[in-house]
Amino acid sequence: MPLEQDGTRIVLSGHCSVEEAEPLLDALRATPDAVVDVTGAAWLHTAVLQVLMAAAPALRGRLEGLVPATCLAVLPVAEAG
Amino acid sequence: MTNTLLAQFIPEARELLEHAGSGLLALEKSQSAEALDDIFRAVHTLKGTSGLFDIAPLTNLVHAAEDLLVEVRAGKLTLEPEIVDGLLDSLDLVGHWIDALESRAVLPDDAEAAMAGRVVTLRGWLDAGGAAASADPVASQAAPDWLGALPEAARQAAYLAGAPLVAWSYEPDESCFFRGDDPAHLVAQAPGLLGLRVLPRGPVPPLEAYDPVLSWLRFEALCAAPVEALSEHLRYASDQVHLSPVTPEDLIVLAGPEDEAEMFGDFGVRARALVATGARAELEAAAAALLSIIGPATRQAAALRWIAALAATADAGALLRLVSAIDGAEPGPAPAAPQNTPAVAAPSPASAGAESALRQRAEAILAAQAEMLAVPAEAGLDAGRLEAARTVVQRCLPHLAPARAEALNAALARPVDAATLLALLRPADDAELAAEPTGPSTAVLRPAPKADPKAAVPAAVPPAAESPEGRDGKLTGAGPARMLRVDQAKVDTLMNFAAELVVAKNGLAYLAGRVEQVSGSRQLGREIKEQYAVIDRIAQSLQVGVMAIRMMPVSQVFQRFPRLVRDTMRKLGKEVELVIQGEDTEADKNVLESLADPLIHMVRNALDHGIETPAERLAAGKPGRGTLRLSARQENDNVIIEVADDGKGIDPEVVREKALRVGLITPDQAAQMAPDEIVNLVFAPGFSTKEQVSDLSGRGVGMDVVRNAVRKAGGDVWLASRLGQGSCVTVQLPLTMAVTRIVTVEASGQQYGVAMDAVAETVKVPRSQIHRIKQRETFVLRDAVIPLVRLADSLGLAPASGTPPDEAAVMVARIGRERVGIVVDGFRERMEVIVRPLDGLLAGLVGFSGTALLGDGRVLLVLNLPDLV
Repeated sequence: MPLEQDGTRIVLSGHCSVEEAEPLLDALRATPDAVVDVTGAAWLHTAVLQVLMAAAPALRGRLEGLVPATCLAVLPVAEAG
Repeated sequence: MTNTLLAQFIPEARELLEHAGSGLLALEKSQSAEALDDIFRAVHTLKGTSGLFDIAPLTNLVHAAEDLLVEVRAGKLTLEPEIVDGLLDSLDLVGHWIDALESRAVLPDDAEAAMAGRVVTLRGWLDAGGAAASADPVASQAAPDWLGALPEAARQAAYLAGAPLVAWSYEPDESCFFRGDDPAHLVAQAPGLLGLRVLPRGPVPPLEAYDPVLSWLRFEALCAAPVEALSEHLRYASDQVHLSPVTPEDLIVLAGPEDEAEMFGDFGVRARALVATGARAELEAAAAALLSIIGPATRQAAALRWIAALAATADAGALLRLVSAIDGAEPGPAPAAPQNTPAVAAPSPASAGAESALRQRAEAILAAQAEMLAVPAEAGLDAGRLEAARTVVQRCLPHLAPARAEALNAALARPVDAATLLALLRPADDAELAAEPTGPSTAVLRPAPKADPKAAVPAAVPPAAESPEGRDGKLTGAGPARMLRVDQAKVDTLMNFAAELVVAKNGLAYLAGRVEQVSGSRQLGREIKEQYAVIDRIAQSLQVGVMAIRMMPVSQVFQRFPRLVRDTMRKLGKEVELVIQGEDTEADKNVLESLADPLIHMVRNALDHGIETPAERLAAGKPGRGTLRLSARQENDNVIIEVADDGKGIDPEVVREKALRVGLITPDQAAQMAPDEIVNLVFAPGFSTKEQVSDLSGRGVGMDVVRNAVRKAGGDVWLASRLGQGSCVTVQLPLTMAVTRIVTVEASGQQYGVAMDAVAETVKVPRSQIHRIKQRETFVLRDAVIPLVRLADSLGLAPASGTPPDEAAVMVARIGRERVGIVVDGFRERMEVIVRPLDGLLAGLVGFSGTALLGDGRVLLVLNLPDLV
């Protein structure tokens, strides 16, 4: 599963398609203090990027590539651990 | 065709092309805004739909045509005949491409080149007309004003990469996810991507109201790649992308507050000296040193960073401009490269104008909303109305003055009632109107839906919020008539089944007869006959219904003629008025299709050789402008189409002479023929040759081809002409070809079918009245001598055994314009059948037009009488 939630930790991994946007949005709505871990994510669909930009949760890990990096540049970085 | 979307696109595109073409002709005749709107809508829709497919040349060409039409619509360009020619030619080319798409699913190889030529021509008029910058995504040359907002490091990297550079913005439309687009992926894969900025197109909705499947991003990107490569990469999103080629100089955009420190002057002096001596490394070091002691956000700091980055590679001129930017030797907000960066530090007048125009529109929309809210409404409607207004206001926010947008946005964040919202919309609105003298007129442009509370439902909102050339084509293009677009093959299949049902039900009549014979039960036979009557009625209704589907108005064929006449006319320098009558007359689609080519032939002939030049006409005492009349009407089961001109007509003497010389007729025959018959000799095969065309004013060109085509469709064609007054070609065609009424005849114990259309009458002729004249048997019918043919002989059958009857059964048939008596052994029943053409081994068989299946399962051969006589 590209999207998994464990408490306040939401893990995106692999290739996240447009299908993940809605569950991610639901998860972020339900957990306002969530930390999104993108360490294992290879690619995030635009819709997923948009959700992250709109909700602006703390991020763990950075994505490769200019486009996702630019999109998510303003998001706060979660402390390690 | 495997691509169903493309299969749908092709007929739609053809229809749109036809709309546009006929609209152009109408427009040329009378400048009507309505016609222009129609054309524009057709072209706009075509452009939009074509974007779905990998046919960039087509899209680009249509785009160019659309741009031209925009200018015409705006009144900036007058529609000269040459421009109409150019547009029509372009539409033709597109039509040609559509044909190619249909057969091969790709555009022809030369499409790109052909497109480029046409686009240059179209754009040439655009420029000549003094039009504003074109809307082509590639054509605009000014650097976009957002360039400076890209990260400085990215711009410096691009500067070092050098030309070709392209700055492009991409606003994926809201519903792009539904089409499976991933805009970020598209951007990430762009060739030579160096710099990127991603920003929301408008305010991002709060998380509670957030819709994850709508796209709201705008991408601004900088690529070191040729424009062609990018437009190829972005071809599927070409309508959402704006490409601008930029020069490296465009990238040097310096922004930030001024630093008034004096040390910049010293730096300037030193830096100029370093540039002059080529000491680039020291220049870089000096810039770096200065950078370390000043604030990084200032404009000077930005210039220093550029110097540091470019010192090793850039040319001296660029560096000197940067130095000037630092020590203020040149005033102005963007002194680094004034000639190249006009639009950055301060918005250029053009973009400011566009902004204020948008702002005015947004305010006008708000005013309309206020007016709408002021109308009292029922409580039930109020909530929806308020919601709609909120949506509209929200959409307008990005285009409003920042302060006002902020106030409105804050208000919208709280739940408001109509009165509050109204109050919010009003005062600023008034202030705006007072501040901007053009305000009131824009408010009039978009009148509020005053008396109609229904207009407040959200569905009514998007058109108002959209740009004026938005989707209006789609909205108004769909008329109230509900049409189905069905593959013709499906209707044909249905038609075949209906026809087979008509034939199969004939079997019941046989059955009834057999029941009476075999079981002797008349009661049962009668009941079967009653059932037969019911099925017969239904089957006929079904057949009529299916045939009605296939019926098309003749206008389908006629509509191409205004164009043909206009083009031919312009080429020949003649003046012709085309009059079309009875275009509502309907006929079977196949019949009409078989008619199309012969008609074109005839119209061309009439224009080319019938109608004289204006000078000749005036000399002959006729009005200078000739008339070509195309008319259609229905007569019984036939469609009659006439092509009549008021030209010089055909001289029977010339035709007679020619026919004699070619050996078509003998002098004896010539002496007996009436002038009317003689002019009809132009239809005879072998009458016309190239040489005679000129002699004979070319009236014979391919007329035998015309006659063959018409006869093949079961019709006939003839010509009437009066010398000096014009000629008229009449084509007669059956309304439908699907079901043929035949009569079966017997010869030597065999049954054959004969199409009823060909049978004039049937008579019994006593043997004593059959006379032999020379080689032929003849008989006299109502004072006319009619030649006789024995069917058994023609078919090579053995004569019937037994003594010949006292009376011969004679079927009088019309063959062309002659009558021939055909002697048969007897007549059998009449019926409706589907005549299937002979194929396979039998295809070459002479004498038969096809076969038909009878109700009892036998196969009947249907005779083709002209072959036998």
